[in-house]
Amino acid sequence: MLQVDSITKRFGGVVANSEVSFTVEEGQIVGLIGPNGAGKSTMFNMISSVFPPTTGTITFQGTRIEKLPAYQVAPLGISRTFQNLQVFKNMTVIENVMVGQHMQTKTNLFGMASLLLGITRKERKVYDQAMSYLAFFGLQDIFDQKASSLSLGKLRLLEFARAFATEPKLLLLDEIAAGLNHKETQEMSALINKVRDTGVTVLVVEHDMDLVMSICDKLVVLDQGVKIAEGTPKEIQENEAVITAYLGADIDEEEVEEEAI
Amino acid sequence: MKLQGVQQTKWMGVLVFALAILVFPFIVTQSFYLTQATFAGIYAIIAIGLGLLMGYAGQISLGQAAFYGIGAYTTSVLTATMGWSPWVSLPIALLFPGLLAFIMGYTMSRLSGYYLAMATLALGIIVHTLLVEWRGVTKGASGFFGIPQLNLFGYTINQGIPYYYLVWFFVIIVLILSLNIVHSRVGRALRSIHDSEIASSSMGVNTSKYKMQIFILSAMFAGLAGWLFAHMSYSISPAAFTFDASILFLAMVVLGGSGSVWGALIGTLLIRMVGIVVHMLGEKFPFITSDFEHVIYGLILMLVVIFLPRGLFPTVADWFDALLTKRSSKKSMLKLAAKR
Amino acid sequence: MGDLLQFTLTGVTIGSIYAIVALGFVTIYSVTKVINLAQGEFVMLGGLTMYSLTSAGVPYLLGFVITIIVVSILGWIMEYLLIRRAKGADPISLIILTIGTAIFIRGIASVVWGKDQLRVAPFTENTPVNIANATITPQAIWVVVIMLLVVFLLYILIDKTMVGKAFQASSVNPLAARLMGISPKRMSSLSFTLSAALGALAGLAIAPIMFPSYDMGTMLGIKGFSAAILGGLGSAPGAVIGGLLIGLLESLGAGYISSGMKDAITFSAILLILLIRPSGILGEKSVGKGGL
Repeated sequence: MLQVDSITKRFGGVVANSEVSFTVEEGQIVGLIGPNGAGKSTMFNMISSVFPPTTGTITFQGTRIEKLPAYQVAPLGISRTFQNLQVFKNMTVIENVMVGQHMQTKTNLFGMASLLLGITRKERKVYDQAMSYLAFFGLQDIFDQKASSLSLGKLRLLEFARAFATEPKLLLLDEIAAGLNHKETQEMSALINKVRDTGVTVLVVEHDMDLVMSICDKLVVLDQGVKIAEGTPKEIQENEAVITAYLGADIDEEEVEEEAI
Repeated sequence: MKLQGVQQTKWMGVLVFALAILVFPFIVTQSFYLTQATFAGIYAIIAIGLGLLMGYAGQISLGQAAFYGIGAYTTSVLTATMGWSPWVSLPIALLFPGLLAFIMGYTMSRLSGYYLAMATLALGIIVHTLLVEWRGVTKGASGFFGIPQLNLFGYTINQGIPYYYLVWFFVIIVLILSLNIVHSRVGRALRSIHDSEIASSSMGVNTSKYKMQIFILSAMFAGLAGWLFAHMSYSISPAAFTFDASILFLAMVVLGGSGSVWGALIGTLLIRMVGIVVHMLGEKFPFITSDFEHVIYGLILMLVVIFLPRGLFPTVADWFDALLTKRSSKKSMLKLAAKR
Repeated sequence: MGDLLQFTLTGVTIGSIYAIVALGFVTIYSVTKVINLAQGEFVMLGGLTMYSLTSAGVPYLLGFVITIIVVSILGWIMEYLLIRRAKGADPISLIILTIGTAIFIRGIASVVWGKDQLRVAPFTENTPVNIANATITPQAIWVVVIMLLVVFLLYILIDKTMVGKAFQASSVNPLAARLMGISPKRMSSLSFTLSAALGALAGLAIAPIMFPSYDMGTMLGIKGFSAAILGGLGSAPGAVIGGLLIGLLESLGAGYISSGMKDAITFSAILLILLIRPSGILGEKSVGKGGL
C-alpha cells in the first residue's frame, strides 16, 4: 500500500534520513521505532507531505506523493495526528471533527452561500456523522466544549478522531500515547486495534515499547537516520543490532533518569 | 435547525435586524438621516466583504476603494454612455472587480504579509489615478454626470425611502450570504487555518484556494456597493474612491471586529454615526470642522487595536455570553439550594 | 537630451526624499518588525514645525535643530504610548495601529496649521543653476546632499558604534540580544525616535521645494513604504535604491508620458517589479505571515 523507497533527507548539513526503504501492507499496523534523533518524525513528516524528501520516492497505492502539497495527499486517503498537538483550540470538539470531514462535502464558496436549504441538510448529515465518530472515540459527552479546555488525554483522542474523520485508508499516528498514563495507553492500544478492524491501515511512531510490541504486525527500526532492522515484534526483540543500538541507548536514558531522581 | 456545539447563523438575529431596518424610516423621517442610513448600507456591504477577508482569510486590503470605484464606474459607463439598462450592467459591475481580484490574487499569490498590503495599496492608487486621468471614459476629476436612476416594473426607485429599502435589501442578502459562508464547511476550514495551518492542510483544506475565493468575493461585494452608489447619485467623481476611503472601510471593520460578519456591519453603523455627530456638532460650534472626523477615526483605530484587539462586537458578545451563563448558573445553584 | 537630464535631476531629488523616508521604515522594521505607516507624517511635521518656528522669528539654524528634536520626541511618544502597548499584536493590527496614528496626526495638523500650502525659506540662496540645458536649484542639491549624509551617518551609527551593534543584534535575534543585556524596549523606542528624526530631516529638506501642507505625509509615507518594499524590507541599501528608483520612475513617467498619470505609472512598475522579485530587489525571503 505504501512504499518508501531510498529516502534521504538533509537539513543543511545534517542528514536526518539516509536511504531508508520500507513498505506498509494493507490492513497492518506498522510501527516506526528508534531512539531519540533516529529520524522517525522526519520520515513521518515526509510521508504526510509536510516537507519533501531530498531524494527518493514515496508511493501510495501507485501514486507518487513525495512532492505533493499536504492538502492533495489527504484526499488520496492519508491522514495523521501530531505529536505536538495541532488541535483547532478555538473551535469546539465537534467542530474539530467536522473540519476533518472537510473533504466529504464538495460545495464551493459560491454554491455554499446560495443554497440555503441544501446546506442545512448536508450540515445535519455531517454533524450526525461527526457525532458517531465522537462516540467511536468516547468523546460524545464533551462534544460542545472548546478544544482549549480539554485535558491532554482527551486532546490526543480528539486528534485521533479528527484524523479518522477524514476517512483515511492509511492513518499516521505520531506518538499518540506520549504523556498518557498506563490506563490511558491501554485504552489507546485498544482503540488503535479497533480502528484497524474498520479496515484502516495504521502506521505509528511510538516511544512506548509495550504499546508497540502488543499491537504492531511489523516494526521498522531506525537509528541515526538509517534503517537497521525490519520484522515482527518477536524478530525485532531478538535482533542483535536493535538490542545494541536501540535498547542500549534506552538503558542509558533510564540510568540518567534514575540518577536525576 | 439547531446543531449544538457548532457555530451557526442566528436567524433570530437576522430577523430582528431586518425588522429594525423595516421600521427605521417610519421612526426617523428627516431625509438627512435617511440618506445617511442609505450610505451606511452601501458601506456596510463593502465592510462585510473586507471583514471576511481580514478575519477569515487573514489578509489586509489597503485598496478596497478600487473595487468600489470600478463597480461604480463600470455601471456608469455602461448605462450613461452606452445606454444599457442598470439591471443588465449589475452583473458586469460585479464581474469586473471580481476579475481584477482574481488576477491580483493569482499573480500576487507569491506575495505575502506586508508585500500584499503594498500590492493592494498600489492597486488603489493606480485605479484612482486612472479614474482621474482616463477622461475619455471616466470624464476625469470633475466627475461623471447623468447616471440613470433605477427602474423596477416601471416604477422609478428615487432617492429617499425607496432607495433606502433597495440598499438595505442588498445588505441583508450580503449579510445572509456571508453568515452562511462563515458557518459552512468553508468558514470552518478558514477558522481552522487560524489555529493550525499545518493541521488544516492535512485535513485536505486547500488554504490558498479559499483565501483567493474570499478575496474575489470581497471585491464583488465592493463592486455591488459601487453599483448601488452610482445609481443613487446622479453623478460620481473619483474623490469618493481614494486611499482615505479604503482606510475608512478598514476602520469600520476594525472597530466592529474583523472576525465577525455582524461586527463589520455594526462597525459601519458606528463609524457613520461618528460622522453624523461631528457634522451636527459642527453646525453648533463652527470650530468643529469635518477634520475632527479624521482625528476621531484615527483615535478609534489606535484605541481599538490596543484595548479591543478583537473589535467591539466579539468582545461585547462575549461579555454578554458570560453574563448569561453566570445568571443561569446562579439560577441552577439557587434551585439546587432550594432542593436541599 | 536636455529633457532627459532635467527629468533625471528631478527624479534624483525627489527620490532622495523617498530614500530618507524609506530608511525610516527600515530602521523601525529591522528592530521591531513594525511597518510604521505614520512615517510620512513625521516628514509633514518636520516641514510644518519649521514653518511655525521661522515665522515666529526663530533663527534658521536653531529652528532646524528644534524641529528635529520636537519631531524625535513625538516619535518617542508614539512608541511609548502605542507600539509598546500593542506588543504581540499580529502584523495586520500593527499596520492598522500606525495608520490610525497617521490619520490622527494628520487631523491634528489640519486643525493646527490649516489646509493651505505653506512657504518655508530654502537653506541657502536659491537661484537655479544651469547644467547642460537643465536647471537645478541649490535646494535640490541640498536634498541630495542630506540624503547622502543620512546614509553615511546611519552607516557609521549601525556599523561602528555599540548602539548600532545592539540594533543589529536585536534585529537578528531578539532573544539572544535580550540575554546579552540589550533591552528590546529601549531599542524599539530608539528606533522610533531615530526614524522620526529622519522623517523630520526629510521634511526640512523638502519643505522649500514642496510647500508643506497637512496632507503631504500620506503620499510621502506611501512612496517611502513602496521604496522600502521595492528595495526589500529590512535592507538599508535596498531602501536607497528603491527610493531613487521610484523618484526616477515618477519623474520620467511624468516627463515623457503624462504628469497626471505619474502615480499610476510608478505603482504599476512597482507591482511589476514585485511580480518578478516577490521579496524586493535586495530582500529577505519571507516577510510577515500569510499570503493569498
